[in-house]
Amino acid sequence: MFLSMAAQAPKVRARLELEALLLRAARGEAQAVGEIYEETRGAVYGFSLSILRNAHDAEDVLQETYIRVFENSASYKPNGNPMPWILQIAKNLSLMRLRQRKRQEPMPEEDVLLPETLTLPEDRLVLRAALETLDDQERQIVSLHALAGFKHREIAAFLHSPLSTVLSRYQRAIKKLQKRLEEEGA
Amino acid sequence: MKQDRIEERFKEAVERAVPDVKDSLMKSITERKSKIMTMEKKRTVPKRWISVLVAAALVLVLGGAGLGVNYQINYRVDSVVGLDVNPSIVLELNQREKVVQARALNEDAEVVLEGMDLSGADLNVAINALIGSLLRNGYINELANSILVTVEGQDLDKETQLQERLTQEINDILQASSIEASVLGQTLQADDALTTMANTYSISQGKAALIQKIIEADPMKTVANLAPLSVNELNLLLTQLDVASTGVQTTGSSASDKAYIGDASALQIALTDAGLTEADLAWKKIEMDADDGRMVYEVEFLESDSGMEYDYEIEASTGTILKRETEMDDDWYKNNGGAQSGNQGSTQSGAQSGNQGSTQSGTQSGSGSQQDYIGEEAAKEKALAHAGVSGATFTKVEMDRDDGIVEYELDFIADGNKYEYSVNAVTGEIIKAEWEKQSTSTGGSSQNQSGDVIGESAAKAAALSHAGLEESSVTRMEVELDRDDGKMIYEIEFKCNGVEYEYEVDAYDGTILKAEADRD
Repeated sequence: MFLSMAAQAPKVRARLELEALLLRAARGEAQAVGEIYEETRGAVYGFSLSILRNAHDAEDVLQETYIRVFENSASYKPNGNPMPWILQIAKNLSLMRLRQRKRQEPMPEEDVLLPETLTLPEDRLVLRAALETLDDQERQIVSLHALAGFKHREIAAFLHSPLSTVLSRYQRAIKKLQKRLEEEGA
Repeated sequence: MKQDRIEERFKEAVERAVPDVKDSLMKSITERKSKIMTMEKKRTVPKRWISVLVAAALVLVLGGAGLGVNYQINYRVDSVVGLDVNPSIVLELNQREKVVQARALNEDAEVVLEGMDLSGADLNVAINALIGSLLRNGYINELANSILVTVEGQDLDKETQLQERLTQEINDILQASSIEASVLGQTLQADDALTTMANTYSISQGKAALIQKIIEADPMKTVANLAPLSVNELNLLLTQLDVASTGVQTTGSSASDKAYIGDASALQIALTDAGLTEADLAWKKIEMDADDGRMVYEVEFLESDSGMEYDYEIEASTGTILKRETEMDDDWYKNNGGAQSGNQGSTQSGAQSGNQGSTQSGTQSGSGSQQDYIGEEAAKEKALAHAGVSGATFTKVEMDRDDGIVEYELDFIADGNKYEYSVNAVTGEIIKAEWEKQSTSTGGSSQNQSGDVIGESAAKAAALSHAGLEESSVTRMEVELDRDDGKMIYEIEFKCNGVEYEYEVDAYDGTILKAEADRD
């Protein structure tokens, strides 16, 4: 265990730093939430986008998530790894938003809405490929792995899926993306 | 496009896409915060303790039928005062602040209470007597000047008042004895978690509450490491934290560190060992910590030129180096071409009988083909030469990839000490070197001596079932019995469909201690 801990030290340290920020937030320090935002916004936004496939909605969820993080920080139980807790908030808010949208627009909108902030054509290509070719679970798995740095085992725990399912779906998702991007000539 | 690259591209795209909502976020948080604050202000009605003390309940039960008014006043426990130094003493008080009972919670406390009958005494008389005994018996002195006062009861306002009065009184008594004391005060509401913790580690509830507060402020600390410490040692750790946030009241002077060598000496010992001076450092960090129940200095620094990060653990009372770890700083390593056989890498490999060297120049980042690697034997030589030992017993020799760099991971034991190395498989450069002094304490867990290990096949089965795989479908299965932190474990590794699994299984009961699955 010693060796692997040493090898993972930067990651462990980052998690503990994040936890320390969360504990500061629990004491009412707004500044700490700002720092949590800086550290985790990519994962929170990407994960929300992978559920919502709509940049407007994901942006709303992004902001709302950190407000909830601040409000609920006192209920966080320190366990050395706050990321799942934060992403669970983002997931709940995203699913809530998804239900609202379905109520308002009975005809499900299938079109992907890419972020306007994204100007590079190759970025748009990759993101469109991810949002269009992957199914819901594949998108979530890839986001958690690529953006939140979750191990497959952690993804399995987070999504309540067997590890073997996560592994095979991850493999399949990456292959699908590879194929699509090759077709597009990227 | 390669598979690895796809994930990277995805990540970059998302990171560039994230809209900047920080300003509006901070604005709405600040608004909410002021709303919450005003609500909280309205709520500051004195809170009543809900929990009834176990001791109080017990007295009531014992009192049974003869529960007269007089009995209530004299024998009913109204509040409990705990004194912790290393001796832990509890005074149970009635409503009139007279001692119902004084109890010793550990052996040291029995020494302090010996020959004293405090029942019926006024609280301040009892406190005077106890502090006198603590001083006479040498539990409070200039090397260990901390004392913890814990007041437990049902009325927070009253307990807070009592606690503040007591800390002041104790400060005065000690000052009169020319001791610069550091008195910690806290009020306490017993709960199940705290009681369990106190019972598990045979410590007082007051000490348990203090430890809980330290861990809340610093989640890297563990109860097992803190429980054996004295109040003075805990106080030293506390001073490194944001004390105000822990809710512990500190009065008097600071915790005495006179029994220890001090930050400056600790740094000097580490620098001398590393052959560096302070001018060589990009940054440094010195902190006190507890390890295996003893106080240590954690000394960390980064050497500016080499990008080498040093991490020392030094026994606080003697200055003995207990652990040394050196590792290439991740960012520095990447930026300075650790992976691309940069110039500093080649000077290293030059010394080696180099049939490699020239082959690995191109753009390959460490993922070159087999003949590019220096080989296990050369890696072992590098590590042994660096450690300055010979005749080592290797407990692990493995090739692994970490952050895109292929490396040999070597664990060995020499002269009774434990070493762990990572050697760049292409350049032969030492990426990480760790040395740990073999623990001299005999405190290894006793259960390890008795009973049998579960055996390799049972350990394998445990790991495979956790992974949801059949043994027939996995490759490169490796099982190894190892000792880790005095605990016997099986380290199990295997591969399946390009995924690498790593497990640690308790060698005695088959519990999965660690599970990792990662794409190769």
